[in-house]
Amino acid sequence: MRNFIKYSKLKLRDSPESCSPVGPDFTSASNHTVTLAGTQLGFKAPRHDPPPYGKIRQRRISNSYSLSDARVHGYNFQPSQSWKTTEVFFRDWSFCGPWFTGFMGDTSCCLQVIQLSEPDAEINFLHPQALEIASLAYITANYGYRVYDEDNGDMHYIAPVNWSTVSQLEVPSVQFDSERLMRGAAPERHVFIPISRSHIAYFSLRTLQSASGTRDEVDKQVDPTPFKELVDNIVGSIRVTLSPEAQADWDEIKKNNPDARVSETCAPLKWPADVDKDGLTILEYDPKRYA
Amino acid sequence: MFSNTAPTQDLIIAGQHSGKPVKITPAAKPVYDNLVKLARDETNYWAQITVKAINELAAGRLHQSNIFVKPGAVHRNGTEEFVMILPGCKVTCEKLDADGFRILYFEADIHYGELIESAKKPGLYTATYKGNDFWDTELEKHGYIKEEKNRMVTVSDSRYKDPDRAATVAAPRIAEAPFTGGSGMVNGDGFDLHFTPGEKKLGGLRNYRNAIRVNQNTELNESALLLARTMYQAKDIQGVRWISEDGGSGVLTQAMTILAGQGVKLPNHKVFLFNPTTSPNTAVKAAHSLQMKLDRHFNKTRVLNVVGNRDQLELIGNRWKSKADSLTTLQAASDIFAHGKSMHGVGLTIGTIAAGTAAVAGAGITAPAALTAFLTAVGGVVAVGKIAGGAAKLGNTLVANLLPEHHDRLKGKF
Repeated sequence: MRNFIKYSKLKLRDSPESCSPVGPDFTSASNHTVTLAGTQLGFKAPRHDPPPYGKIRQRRISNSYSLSDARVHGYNFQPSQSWKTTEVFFRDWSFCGPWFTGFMGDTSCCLQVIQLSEPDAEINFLHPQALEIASLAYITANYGYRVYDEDNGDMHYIAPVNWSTVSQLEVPSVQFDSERLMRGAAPERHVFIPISRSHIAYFSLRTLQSASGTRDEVDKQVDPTPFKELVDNIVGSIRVTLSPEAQADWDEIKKNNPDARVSETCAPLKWPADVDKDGLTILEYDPKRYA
Repeated sequence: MFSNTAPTQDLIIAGQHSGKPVKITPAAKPVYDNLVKLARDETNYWAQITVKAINELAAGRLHQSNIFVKPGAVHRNGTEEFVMILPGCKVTCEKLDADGFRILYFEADIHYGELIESAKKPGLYTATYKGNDFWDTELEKHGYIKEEKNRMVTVSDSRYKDPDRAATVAAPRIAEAPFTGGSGMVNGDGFDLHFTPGEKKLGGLRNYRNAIRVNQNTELNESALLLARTMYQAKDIQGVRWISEDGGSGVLTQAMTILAGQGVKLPNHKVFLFNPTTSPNTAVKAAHSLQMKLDRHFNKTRVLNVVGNRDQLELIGNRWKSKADSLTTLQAASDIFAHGKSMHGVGLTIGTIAAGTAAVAGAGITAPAALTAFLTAVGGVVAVGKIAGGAAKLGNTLVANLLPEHHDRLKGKF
């Protein structure tokens, strides 16, 4: 209750030089479970608490999803349109500074199921190597073309950063961050978990601190640690129970290649780059390719 | 008198051969040289604007209608001082008797480019729809809009620290402009965003003077000059649509006035103001002199927006009189009637609020959610009372006007 008053969105004072904002209380976060392609996925998330700017609506989990009705990403967002998505869940949480310094930033969580626009029977995302290729290609399809300076190849974003796996999961998984290279980092955590041969559950958790300036200036004004804690808590609460078919697939992969696992490290990709229509092959960047 | 150094002499930097001479004090010269060097690089467009503006002093373009010139002190000997606020620099100059100019101070920020890159200064961004009402924005290095027919460009209010936030608020609003095709089109095509960083709204009742005399507000000069350049560079792209959001109207008005002062014409472009908090009549005059296309409706102004409604009648009159506009007498009459109705709405709105506040004084309604419920309920009561035609919508209208952010959010649910 005290926090509700102390850390409210009401802004009556100027922003302090530096502050450590407070977001939602994760201990009271409720469990959410959803069945996607037979696989059960569970995670914890606090109540939706959108920023005071704009209209940010939450997306609640519905009873069933028909993954065959997935739609392609917008051309503007993903020029290759090589992946399809089904949105499952979305919430946004505000972080506020103490004593009427107001809104200081937000972290959002979006869960989607992604699949190739042109299904490829050859590939099985339950295989750690395939998952790795898919995650890198997917992030390249969305961010690899966003060039700031065509002449020297300066980019707006960098990924993957802080590459790792989701430690509590038995199934293969990949998680990493993408960051902005100008202004504040606006870190976005990407988590990829296969739920069937051809479907991947994809969480993206994006943080935007409310401050302007370079990354150092932004991090000084609004401490990024509380945002990162919430992201880590949500990712740490993910549970997966594979469908019988997917489990059989995964058991067979483990039997045939006992050493199959996701790489331990991965350096940031060399961008600009495009992704081919197949959604997996990373190609040389060409601004006219999808123009 | 006793120093060994040579007497300092003013240096001529422009207008040596023709026009009026522009002199500069030796102390300010190195900074100017640095700017000239920067301006040679295409990507430092802000420096180019500044150097060109100084050169234009020589062409004698400095007159009262030049809006980025603020008159300063008048000296005893009759010379006048002017302050020009340009991107990355503030120039104080003196008008000399001999019909020339002398630059007295030159406060330039050579690192202005870096400030644009960290969103601390105005810049042009490309906005891409990310899904779930979220937008990504990326700085456009050269300050050019996307070369696409019928491109939408939003001029945002200056109350956001980050352009991502500005785009997220602006998107549902520009979808209400008559020619954008709704949010489906806006989300699909994306848009360009002219972002002015800041913490406070531009214009409105709290800044009444600046809201009414929008062209005299020097705080907007930098942003307006950058926008004017963007508009000028886009003049050959067909059907560009410039849409301001709230206080962005101030920046757009100044930018259009700057271009009008330079004799630029933008006959292929359209303009629209969403809930302007600065004088829309000043904007319509500038748009007319640029020969821009105006839709049947030029602005969408919320009922309680005093500044936006203030000179509507004059605006309608100007549109009706102007040859550049296509507003017919019938349309003008209907607009005046609609405006009268909305003024009636203001009375009704204020009356209802007063009544409501009196009724629940002591209940202490503060939270927006509670207030919304209350206002909707009031709307219902008013409808029953048959106070005015169409009053059933009053609850909704009240929410839209009193709690615009909340209304944006609710709107999607119906």
